[in-house]
Amino acid sequence: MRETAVIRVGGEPVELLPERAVWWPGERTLVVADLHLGKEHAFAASGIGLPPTILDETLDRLARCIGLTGAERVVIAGDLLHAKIGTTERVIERVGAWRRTVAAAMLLVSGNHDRAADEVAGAWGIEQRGPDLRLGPFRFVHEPDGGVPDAFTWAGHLHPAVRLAAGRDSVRLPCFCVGERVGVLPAFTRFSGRTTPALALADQAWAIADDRVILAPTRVASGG
Amino acid sequence: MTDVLIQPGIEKFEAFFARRGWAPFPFQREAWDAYLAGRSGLITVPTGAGKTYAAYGGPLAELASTLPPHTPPSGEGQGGASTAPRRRTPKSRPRTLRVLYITPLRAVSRDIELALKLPVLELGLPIEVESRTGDTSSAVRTRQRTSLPEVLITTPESLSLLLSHADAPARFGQVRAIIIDEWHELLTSKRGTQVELALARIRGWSPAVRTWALSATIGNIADAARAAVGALDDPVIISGDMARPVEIETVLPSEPRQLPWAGHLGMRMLPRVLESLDPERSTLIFVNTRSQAELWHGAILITRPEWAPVVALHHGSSDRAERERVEAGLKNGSLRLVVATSSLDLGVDFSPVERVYQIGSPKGIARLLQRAGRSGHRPGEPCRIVCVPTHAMELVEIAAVRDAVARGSIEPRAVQPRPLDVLAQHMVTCALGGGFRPDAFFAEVRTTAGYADLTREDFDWTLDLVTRGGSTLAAYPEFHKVALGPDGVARVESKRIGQLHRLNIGTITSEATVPVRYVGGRSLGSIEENFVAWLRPGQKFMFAGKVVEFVRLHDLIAYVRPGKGKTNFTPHWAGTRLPISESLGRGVREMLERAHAANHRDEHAETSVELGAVARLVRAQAALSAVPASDQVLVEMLETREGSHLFVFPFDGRLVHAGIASIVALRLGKREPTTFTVTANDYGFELLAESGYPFAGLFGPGLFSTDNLAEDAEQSVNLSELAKSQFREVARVSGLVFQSYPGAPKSARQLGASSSLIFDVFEQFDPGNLLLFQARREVLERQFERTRMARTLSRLGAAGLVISRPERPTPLAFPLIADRFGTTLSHGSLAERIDKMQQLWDREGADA
Repeated sequence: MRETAVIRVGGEPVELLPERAVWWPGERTLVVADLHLGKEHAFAASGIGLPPTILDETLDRLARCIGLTGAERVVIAGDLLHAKIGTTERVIERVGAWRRTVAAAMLLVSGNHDRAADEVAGAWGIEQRGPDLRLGPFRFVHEPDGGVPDAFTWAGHLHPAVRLAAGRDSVRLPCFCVGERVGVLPAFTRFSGRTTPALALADQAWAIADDRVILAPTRVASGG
Repeated sequence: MTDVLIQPGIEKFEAFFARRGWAPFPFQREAWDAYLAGRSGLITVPTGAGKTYAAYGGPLAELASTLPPHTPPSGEGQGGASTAPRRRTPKSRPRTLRVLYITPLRAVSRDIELALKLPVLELGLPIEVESRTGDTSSAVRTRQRTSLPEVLITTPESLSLLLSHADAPARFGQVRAIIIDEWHELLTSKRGTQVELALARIRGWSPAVRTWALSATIGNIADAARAAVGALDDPVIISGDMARPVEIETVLPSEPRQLPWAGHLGMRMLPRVLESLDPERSTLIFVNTRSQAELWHGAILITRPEWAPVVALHHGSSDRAERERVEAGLKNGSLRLVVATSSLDLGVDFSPVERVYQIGSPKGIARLLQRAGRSGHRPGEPCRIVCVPTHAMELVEIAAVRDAVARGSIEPRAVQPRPLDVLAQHMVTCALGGGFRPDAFFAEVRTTAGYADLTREDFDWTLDLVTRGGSTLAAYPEFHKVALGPDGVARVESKRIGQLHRLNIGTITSEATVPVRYVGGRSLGSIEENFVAWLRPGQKFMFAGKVVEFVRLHDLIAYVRPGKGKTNFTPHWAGTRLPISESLGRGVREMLERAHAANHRDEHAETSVELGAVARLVRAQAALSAVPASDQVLVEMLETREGSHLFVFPFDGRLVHAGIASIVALRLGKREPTTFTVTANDYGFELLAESGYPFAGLFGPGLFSTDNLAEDAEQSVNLSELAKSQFREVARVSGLVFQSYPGAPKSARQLGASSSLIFDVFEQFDPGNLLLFQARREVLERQFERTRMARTLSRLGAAGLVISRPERPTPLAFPLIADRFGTTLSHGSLAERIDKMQQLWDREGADA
């Protein structure tokens, strides 16, 4: 049973989706971060063979989010790509073909992994903006900072995760972290090892348990 | 070959013996004759009895008699034969490899080289003996690239490397004899599988070759012999009837009460052990884990600082130079008290010591015999070992070992079943080394014991993996390694892939460790990555016999500085605690029954000292609960403040118990979902659930059924992290992940490519990958000893279960409670678990 969470930040209602995206209905905008496209190809170039279907899954899920919400615009809060070496011809073609099936506009706030973004932005129809992007009451950056007084900041970069525990059971899940001025999105890619404990980040952690988004009680959630 | 040609050779070898004042043992003559009669086989005699010359005499005699006649016989001028052959260039005399000697330990290859050179030099034979290991100098390597010596000593990894050269068929085509040392050790490992495959390859090129394996005593010697010689040969088994009597002595605490019911470090026994240690006599103190070695070494130094110059530490994680220093020190007598782990178990030519101690259970009968064999000097003389129990139940283990030794019952050892990762690596090796035709290659691979029942389907899957990256990696040209040519021969065409493959051949044994270094530079050894993750800067721990302070982890090197003061904190190295063997487990059950019976009759005269000392514990167990007979299994259920406990005591080793515990947890969880804390030791396991969990109501024969064992085991293993770390090895050996990858922008570890991440990705995106199945199968076999587990479950199904409800934890249960490490196993989907958690949070919220 798919469950989303609707919260209000910066005076605007937004919906946290279990597909690892934020839906901002007021501006028909979908917000994602940390796609790390081509990461498996970067690994292959270092001698580690991983299934290349990782890319397909990422793109399919993004298309599904756009389809479910009817988003007209997608904001990518950094790390669209993983590495220059992983941005192979094959990846550029595959994403380009996918992009032609998606009508929504795409804006990229460059992240630290996006060094090859200039080379693909044109082919993929992605407009680069940044280092920070302001839209209405929101500000989008890649690496979370202290925020600003006159806007709510959305960021990525940290790949937050939260450990839920009750009784003797415990499980670690990716999450959205929502603080007073700053919100951090989970990594959109499911191929991500390094994570940051949510507790260090914000007041509220919304965990993604398969197809549900649930609020982690601060009492029981712990780092890592 | 005819006897006429051969006899002169063997006479020469006998002359060599005579010159050194030795008389050949009957088993040595037997081995020489069998070899010269064209047979292959296996030689099993105790350490130090002369196995090497038994295997080497025949091949050397044959070689000597077939030398080209124009070779000048050695005069005194050739007495410099030690240097002369080295200078001889291949141009002056072509060299041809005739005798291949494989040792699992490159550290002893030097000693073996000297032993094999000795008769050659003394008899003045124009034969060259060289080593080829990871330590071989580049000058020798270069020479060996042109031609190999008549006698070559090598390791499994270096042998594979040699097979990967394009001219391998020609270079190995004249091999007449292959000798495999320490076969009992290699046999059970993937390195053994690697050797089996390499030998099958060489036999294809040189059908006349004879294989001789050297092995310690094991329970299934005929299987070991067949695995060594392959399916196309019929092995002779030669065992010198020269068993040395073994004397086992046990150090008892001065007060029986002083021996705790739990724990495995044994520090309480330190004073008793110190009383009997003599720094004038060479002594090996074997312990079971590296951390225990650090602790004992540290404790001896603190209590007897004056012994410091003669005390040393030897374990698998100490720096290699340090280990070699210790081995040399033991040999030349400058070091006399060495605390060691199984790192010192191997090495044939390791000189004997005067005394051997075993701290804690030896966990197996063969292992105790091998360690005891380190003591004493001459064949026929008894070997002695002093056992030091670390907790009370180990007295029972020692009694069981003593009993088994008396009956000559020793554990069998099994080969690895069809590891596809090793096969994948071997395929690329052979494609480089002259290429192969798939049909003939399939037949060749199936002549090994490891792959005797390999299916064509699995073979083809593996071939597909190395040719086009399988279904998964087809997208990356890096993984299209082997190409099938129009002539039907599989070869490697890319030079770079060849280089990469050779760089990664030696990776079967390496672990995920990081080097430990002083900030100033000196290397101390290596440490498991997981342990480093636990360290905070400034934290002190014991390493390589010293107290060090962690500074930082930088570029995957753990930097430390000398630490002041004391600490009991030692690195824990995963997987270093062996379970007790099946034979020993059976022995312990019998001994417990015997001790119980003796208590009953109130007479201990006829039992061993160990059983006498453990009488109190057995009596307490009987009073609180029950002491099972050897064909029964005890089950205890009780409630404490911690919750509901279920204890089961099959006495079948920690790994089997951990496996059965997860299966039982899974099956119970299907009937009544909950989260269990699972603990296992060598005697049994514990499942702990919340208060009021209805263990008794759910308990039934179906719980231990072997039906659906594979599925249930897989499901429960899915819940653990174990398959992930196993997959790391499988991925590396199969070449899915290159350990060493020149030109790569970043190393695997720098990329954060942890084994669990890689496993997760494959499981999500390529669940049908056979290597995943293999990782799971290996986990089941290695981590849970699945085959043994099935036998245990059948026994549990058939045995009388003695169900008892003690009021408090019993002596048998106590170690499980004390050692609880708290692996939790949850049953139900993530959604069900989250629901349950939310209910709990709500309840707690309402209480607050």
